Amino acid sequence: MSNNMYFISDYRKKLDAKEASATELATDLLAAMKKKEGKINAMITIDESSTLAHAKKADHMLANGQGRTLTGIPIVHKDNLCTVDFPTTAGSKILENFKSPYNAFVVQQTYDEGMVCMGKASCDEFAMGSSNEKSYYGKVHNPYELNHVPGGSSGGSAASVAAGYAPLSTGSDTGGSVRQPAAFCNLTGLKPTYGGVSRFGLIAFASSLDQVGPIAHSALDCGYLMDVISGHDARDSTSLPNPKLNYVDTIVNGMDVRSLRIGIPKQINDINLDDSVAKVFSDTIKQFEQMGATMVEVDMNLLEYAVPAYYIIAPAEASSNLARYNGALYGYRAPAKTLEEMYINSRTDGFGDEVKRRILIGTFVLSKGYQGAYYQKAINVKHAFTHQLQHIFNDVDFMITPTTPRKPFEFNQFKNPVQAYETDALTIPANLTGLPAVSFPAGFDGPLPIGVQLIGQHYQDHRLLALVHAYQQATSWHEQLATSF
Amino acid sequence: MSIDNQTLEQLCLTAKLDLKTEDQSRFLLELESIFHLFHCLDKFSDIDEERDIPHHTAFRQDQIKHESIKGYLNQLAHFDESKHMFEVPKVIENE
Repeated sequence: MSNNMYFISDYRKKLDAKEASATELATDLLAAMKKKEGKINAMITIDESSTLAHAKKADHMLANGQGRTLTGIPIVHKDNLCTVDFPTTAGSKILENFKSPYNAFVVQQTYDEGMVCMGKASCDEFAMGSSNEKSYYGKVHNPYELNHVPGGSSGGSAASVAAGYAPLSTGSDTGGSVRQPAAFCNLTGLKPTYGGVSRFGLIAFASSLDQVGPIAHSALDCGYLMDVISGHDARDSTSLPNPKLNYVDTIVNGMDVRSLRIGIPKQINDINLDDSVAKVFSDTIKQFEQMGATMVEVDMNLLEYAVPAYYIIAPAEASSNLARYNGALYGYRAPAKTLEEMYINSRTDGFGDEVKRRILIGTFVLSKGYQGAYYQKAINVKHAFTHQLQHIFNDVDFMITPTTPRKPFEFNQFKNPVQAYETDALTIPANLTGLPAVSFPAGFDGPLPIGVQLIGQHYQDHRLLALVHAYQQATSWHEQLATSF
Repeated sequence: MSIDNQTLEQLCLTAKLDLKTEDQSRFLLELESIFHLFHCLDKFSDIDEERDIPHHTAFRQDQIKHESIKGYLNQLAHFDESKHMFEVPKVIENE
């Protein structure tokens, strides 16, 4: 049954027609997950009893007329979102078996909605990575081609949806960690406007850039989840005060693409795109032109500074945020004779190499004598870049780029971390500027999916999804499912 | 900027990390290549001066009175059970 169900509407129909209860759906999915996990390894925690408790609650809500739009719909949460009933590891040894005393805002919203949590998805350790090879709990395989990466850091979230464990998942996006895995797994993934979704209970990586977002097969399904998880939360000081956006209404009402101007940064020509990525991007531009949009070239000449600025700001914040993991309060504690030794041993054993590398970078760029040369300059780039994109948006409604310069790559592709960092060049701008951005399926290179990204203005997340929905009404890339397992 | 063993050891000391001896040369090489990436920003200083970058975000370390902030939090912060978080009043008064 579950093998033919990928969209929320598939599940909703079954539940509403009473062809299956939420408990029956969850039981089937759990059985399917156990079979597929040997090949995919998308999940860090599967806890049958907790999942079935959620399903039972959903059935109770439905039976009593208390059902909401997503009651009974399965969801997978990224393992850097705190959950009371499942452990939360952030993909790290240092948080192995850690159980949070509270639920993240996003998680609680889905629980209140009556959604059924199928478990916690793997991610690169503390969301630092672009391939999901950096999880302490093993690498995740791309359901479209098992010897390729699913992207990262929300690789488990994307792979779990692509593999059919649930129609929806949550991810977090600090430099592209929702959009890049969505692109690699033929899914739609939204990085909302900074402050649009509460970060309360999201394990912090780089607080000024982190944002939680949905991953699903379609823009419409992302909209359903955004209606549940977005909105103001007083416990996140950066949460926007604005009222909620009406995602599904905006998407379903449709968008007149003929009145839109979409900007193409000319600096994309300076980036070394894979041939298939360039072809898919070109085809997507033609598709939007056929739909009536006006495509215009825009000048984003600060793009070359995005990657270095990001890899200063994010590690600087990470080195501070991760100072709390010292063996005293959370998770793993290494044997030691003194307090200082306990701190050092716990952090040395508990963190992986990528996390250590970023902590060291962050420590360096914030150190006396170098702060002005690195951190302050990166902050200036961030401000200038924000100013430049605001200026560009005076002329266009949206901007379009490939999601990543590379198609999904094989494991152990990069010998040097900088090679991996440079693949984030097109996703980072939305994080530095706080703008919403969405990746959506736009083509293939053989079995490998390729995504394209649209960037919108602040608080235009719903219109971004409406535009992608219009594209998905005219194309069928998002309906091509994984068959490699 | 190039990074040497002594700088790496100092960074590890500050970050409370202890790299194994066999890992040190690899980390040095990797960090070196990352710092090389940052050199791209050297060009940005010219642009910076041409643009009207707001300076109100600049670090003003001299204006931060750590001791008074710590004392303030110790006195007034309390744990709100219902929200599972520490609450502090929003306005920090001048001394």
